[in-house]
Amino acid sequence: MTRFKNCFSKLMAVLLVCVMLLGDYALLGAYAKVESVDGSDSLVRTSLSEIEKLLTSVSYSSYLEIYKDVKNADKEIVIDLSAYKEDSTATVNLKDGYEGAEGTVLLMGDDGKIVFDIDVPETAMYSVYIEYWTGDIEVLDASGAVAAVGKSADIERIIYFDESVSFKESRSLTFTRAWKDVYTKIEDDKSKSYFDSVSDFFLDFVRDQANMSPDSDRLFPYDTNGNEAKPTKEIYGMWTGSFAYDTSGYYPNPLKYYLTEGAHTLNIETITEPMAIKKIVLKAASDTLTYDEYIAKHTAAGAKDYTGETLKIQAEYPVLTSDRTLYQINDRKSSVSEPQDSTLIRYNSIGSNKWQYVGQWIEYTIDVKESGFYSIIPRSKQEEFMGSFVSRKILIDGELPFEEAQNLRFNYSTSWRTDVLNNGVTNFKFYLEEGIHTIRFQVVLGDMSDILGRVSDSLSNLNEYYRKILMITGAEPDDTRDYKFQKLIPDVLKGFKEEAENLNQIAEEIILISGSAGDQTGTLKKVAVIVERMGKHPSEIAGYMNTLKEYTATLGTWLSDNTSQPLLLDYVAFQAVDAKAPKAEAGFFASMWAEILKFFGSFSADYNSIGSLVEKDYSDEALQECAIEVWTANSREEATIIRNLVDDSFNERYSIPVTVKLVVGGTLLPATLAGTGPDVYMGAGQSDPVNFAIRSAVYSLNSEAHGYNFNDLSKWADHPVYGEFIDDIATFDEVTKRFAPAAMVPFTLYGEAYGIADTMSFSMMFYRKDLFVELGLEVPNTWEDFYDLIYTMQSNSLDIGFPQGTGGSFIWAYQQNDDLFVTYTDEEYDAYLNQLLTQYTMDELVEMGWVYTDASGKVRPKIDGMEINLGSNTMLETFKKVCELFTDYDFPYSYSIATRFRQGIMPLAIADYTSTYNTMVIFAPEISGLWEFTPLPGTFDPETETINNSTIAAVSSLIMMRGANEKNALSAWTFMQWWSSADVQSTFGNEKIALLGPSAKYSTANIEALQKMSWSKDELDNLVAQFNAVECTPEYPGSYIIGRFTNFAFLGAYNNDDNPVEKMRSYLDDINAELTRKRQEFDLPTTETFKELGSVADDK
Amino acid sequence: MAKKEQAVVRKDISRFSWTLNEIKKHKVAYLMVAPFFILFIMFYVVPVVLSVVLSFTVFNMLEFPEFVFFDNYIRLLFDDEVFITAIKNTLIFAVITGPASYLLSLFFAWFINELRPKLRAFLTLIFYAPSISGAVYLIWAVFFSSDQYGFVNAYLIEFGIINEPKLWFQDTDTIFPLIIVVALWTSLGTSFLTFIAGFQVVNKDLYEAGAIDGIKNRWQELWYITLPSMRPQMMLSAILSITGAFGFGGVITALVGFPSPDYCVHTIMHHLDDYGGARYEMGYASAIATILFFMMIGCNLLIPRILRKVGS
Repeated sequence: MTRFKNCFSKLMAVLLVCVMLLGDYALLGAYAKVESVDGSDSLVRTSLSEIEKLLTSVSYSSYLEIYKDVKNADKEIVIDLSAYKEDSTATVNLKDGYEGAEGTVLLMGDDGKIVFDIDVPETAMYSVYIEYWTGDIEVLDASGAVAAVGKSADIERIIYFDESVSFKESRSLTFTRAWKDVYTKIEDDKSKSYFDSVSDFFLDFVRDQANMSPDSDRLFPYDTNGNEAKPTKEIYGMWTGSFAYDTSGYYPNPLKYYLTEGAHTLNIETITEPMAIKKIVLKAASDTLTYDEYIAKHTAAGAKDYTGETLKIQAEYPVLTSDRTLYQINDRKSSVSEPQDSTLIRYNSIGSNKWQYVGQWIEYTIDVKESGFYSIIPRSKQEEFMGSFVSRKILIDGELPFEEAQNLRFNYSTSWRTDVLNNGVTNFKFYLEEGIHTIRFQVVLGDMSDILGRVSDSLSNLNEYYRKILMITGAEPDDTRDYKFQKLIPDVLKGFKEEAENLNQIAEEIILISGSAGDQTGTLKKVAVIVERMGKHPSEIAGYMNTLKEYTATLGTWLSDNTSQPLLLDYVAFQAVDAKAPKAEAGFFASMWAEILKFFGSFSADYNSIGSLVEKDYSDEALQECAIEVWTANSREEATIIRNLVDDSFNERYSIPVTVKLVVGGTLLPATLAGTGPDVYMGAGQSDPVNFAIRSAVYSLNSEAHGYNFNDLSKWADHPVYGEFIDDIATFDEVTKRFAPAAMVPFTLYGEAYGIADTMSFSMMFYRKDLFVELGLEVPNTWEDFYDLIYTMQSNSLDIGFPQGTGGSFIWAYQQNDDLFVTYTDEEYDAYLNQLLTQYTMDELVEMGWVYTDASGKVRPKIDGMEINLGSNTMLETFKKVCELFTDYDFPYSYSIATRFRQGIMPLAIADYTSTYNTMVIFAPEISGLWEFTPLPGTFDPETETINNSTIAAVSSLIMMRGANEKNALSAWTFMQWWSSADVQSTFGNEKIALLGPSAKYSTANIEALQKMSWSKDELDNLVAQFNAVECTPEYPGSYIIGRFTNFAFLGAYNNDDNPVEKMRSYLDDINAELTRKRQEFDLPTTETFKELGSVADDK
Repeated sequence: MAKKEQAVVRKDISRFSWTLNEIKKHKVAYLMVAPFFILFIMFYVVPVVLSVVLSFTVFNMLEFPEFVFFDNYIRLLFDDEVFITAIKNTLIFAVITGPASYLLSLFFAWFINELRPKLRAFLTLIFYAPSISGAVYLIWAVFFSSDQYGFVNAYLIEFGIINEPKLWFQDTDTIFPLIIVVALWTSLGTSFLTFIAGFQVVNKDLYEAGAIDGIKNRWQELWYITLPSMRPQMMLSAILSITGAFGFGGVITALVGFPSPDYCVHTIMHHLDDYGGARYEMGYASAIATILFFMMIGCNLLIPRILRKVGS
């Protein structure tokens, strides 16, 4: 058996070498011309040599270890911003006095890098200090056109000296923005005015202590239901200075770079967002006092403990925040939270899981009337980490008062707590001078930072060892075989022993810090045991491989769990040092009474309707007739955003009353039947418009015959209501131009469109840049390249994620210009039409609805969708090839892409772009910057010498239901065209991110809106390239049957080794029969019709 | 007071007015049963009748139904191969899981009944747990995950029994047996509990009397004494088992997806969902429902006849 195996592997090796050599030849051929099918120029793939420069496996901790004896810099190096070097690739503008700055400001675009020569006076450790603008900026190119516009996302840069990145952490440095709140004020005459959280009115209001009691006036406006409405977040531009910090928070102090005396270059490379830089200084961070020194210093200066009244800041009134997601929350769980109402929404707190990522901060202002030492007591709650604590650091007027203030602890508790700010050992008091101060709380990892950093290092080592072993053993290690690990990878064995020791030690330290063992250390110890055994007994390595893989995944989850630091704040009290802490929770009877009130209140409160800020007067009869009702089955958050958008943007432009209702999916059908349905339904599925339309529940949007023709709005021009803004309504043709051309295909049946696109999602190719460099692979441009990759990947035991069944084969077939249904040429259409004319007159055919006039004005029989095209050569061949990928090439059928991509065992996957992106951003922060998504590989067409890299998209739609009538149909259309416009779509997308975080990217179908969303330049270029090459499958009566039978065919081939072609062909009759049956139900011509009329097909 | 009132005899008046009379006489009782009765009619009788009516129409849920006489039934019975598969599968499920789960419940209940009360309560909880904890059958999907790192696949690959992951719930060879096991596992629910209760109420004196009358072993005791004295419980369990087996569809959809590959575990419930949901053919779906309804009624009529044989 072993002999056979050896023999086999030798054979395989020879084969592989041959194939790879041949593959190179194929590559030469395929590189003839790389161009997307629609001529879109940019297939942005970061060149791998460029990436290589940025890749490093050195972690900051080992970097510091090397240079631990080097002193910190005494001198500062101030960079002359105007002297950037010639080889800078970024778009750069220099402006004097930009936004009130003194001297020259450097505006850097959202692409490329900028290089400076520096002259280092002494060999030492330097940190990078940058003063930058927190607002959005615009960068112009040489010709004066706008090259980059800020999109309000965090600014990310790579900083490195000379040729390469010194340590991993320097590869992604984040510079936070600042966000202010914009409050709406409703005047007595119902007009709105606005003020923001940096205005004097706001600052005076929150500094006045009288306003900090629960029963004082509120700043939040009330909506028509009596609930408080949240202020909106707006980016706030100011100059701010910051050192470059480790984004993950494992190292609490500014990052230090080792520079020798002499000439060097400083490189700043963009990941996201343009950036306006006022000053770059290389210097050492100044030392901070310890707490004892701090107290001694102020006591010596005569400071006394404060003894007066308690000062309070209500947490729901922040001046600035670092993220737009940090918005006010209504806490209903505790009756002590200030203020409180038993049924209505009162914003009384802030934070929770929106305020959990390292670096996020919230800033308040306070007016101190008397100098002295204060006890700072936040009323806070941390109920996520049992047996552990979360950390914050406090900055007073932008300064860390003393060193311990960056490790403030908040212990776990299911109820609110009012503890004096402490580090687990000492309760601190803070010296505040009389006057106005800013108080900023920032998320840090505190005492856990060092530990988490080490676990993260261990994890990346273990993942690397795992891959190294995998390359020797293959995916299914044989435990009985001796792989001679000691000879092949002695460093890995040594590494295992070290990591085991590390993990055990970390576990001990955690127990010391948090005082209890618990779950946390359990995970670490469990992993340590296995790792140690693998290090000590190499013969057991093969047997433990699966366990190791699972454990590293667990460790990864452990890490991301422990780095999140959620904390909910109700208020912050500044009080006399010896005063009693405020009450943290209500007593038993008080809570009971509050619960009783809530319970009875719940009978009368209306939780479903989404209220507006101002009740509009719609008593005018003409206006009332135009009113429409819009339904959405999205989340409550999204419904609220829609409501707000309607109130602001829609009502400003169009004076039509709109009711937004949040419904449960599935209510649409019964409601429409009962005649109580909506006028417009948002977020309908891809097949819904046509399916509803053939049952006359949805109106056509471009023809009078089955609905309304919104290409011709002239008939409403004199309408008393519509007439005013008729010029502001886009026509149907104008609206469809907003989408990829194929996006309307599924909603269009025989020339009539029954809906417009809402969202559009499609697959793109995700790959791990670091692993591609490691394996020396190039990103595939064509499927030939892709096939060449498979060998290299599989010989290294790596997987490829590929859409199963027809998911993949349709993409291939569409790239070869084949279609799901049989398509007809002009002659064939005419032949069929003539066939029909032998039996019926033209008038009869029109009467029966068997013909229609297409866009070019030709009369066509309604024969599309009559016959499935799965039997075509292309379709069968692509299907067979996809089946072979899963049977012969052993592609995995089901897998968790998030886990495998992150662990690096699936470095290439074709997957839906939004959902995969959203998962990766949250789930795998440790590989951020190491992966990218690009358009799919394409099919090379030798005739035109182009590569067609189309993908197949799924679209959702907006539909106009039959609830709409003559009078309000244009209202419905006005709403639909408004919703799909670029401004509204991008605002909605950005608001969603504001509400739900960076992992809530919205897959709009509007290409212009996509460009306004917070994608980075590279991401956007790739997206746009793929957007231009999107195909959609059409919908016809009976379409549902296709997916079903093709899946059967795939499973048959996969499970039972059936011949894919035979299997697929065996279902063709069933599919066609169902299409025919459904068409008969709707009185459409079928293949049967033509058989009866005498075979046209024979003539063909 | 009742002296003068002459008893109304059934023969004297028409059946209708006699009933009316009776209702008047017992109007308090009728009043008390009314809330349930109204709800029962509204939510059970009316829908069933409506469904039977709809089964004679073509109804796409968006437009007004169109009357087509027996077309739906003709197509269903003579021109729908999938429906025949569905009937076959449903009957197999009903025959295997219905009685099997019934007998299993009975025997588990019998065994557990012999144990000490505390241990009995504990075991009862264990056996009953699968059916109270809702979607707990989904752990089968975890065990038999088609991922190569799914529990069963991972172990089988490790032991060298299979070389590549098997798609347990997508492979026509393995779906059926697996589903039957899951069905049996989940079905040890209410009927099991009823049996446990049944065993508790058997009059203990009967065993003594039986012993005197010549019962030789525990089997005879079970057959001649225990079972006959708990016929009502058996009746309830049987009806629950059979209806459960006929309506067994949700679990399959959750584990296998809808529709199952090659319709291999397609049941009447699935067929009904298919036409009522994806295909917008409510008339046809109603015809399916009607047939299922009568199949269930038939089975439930059969059960008492079989149960009458117990103990004889």
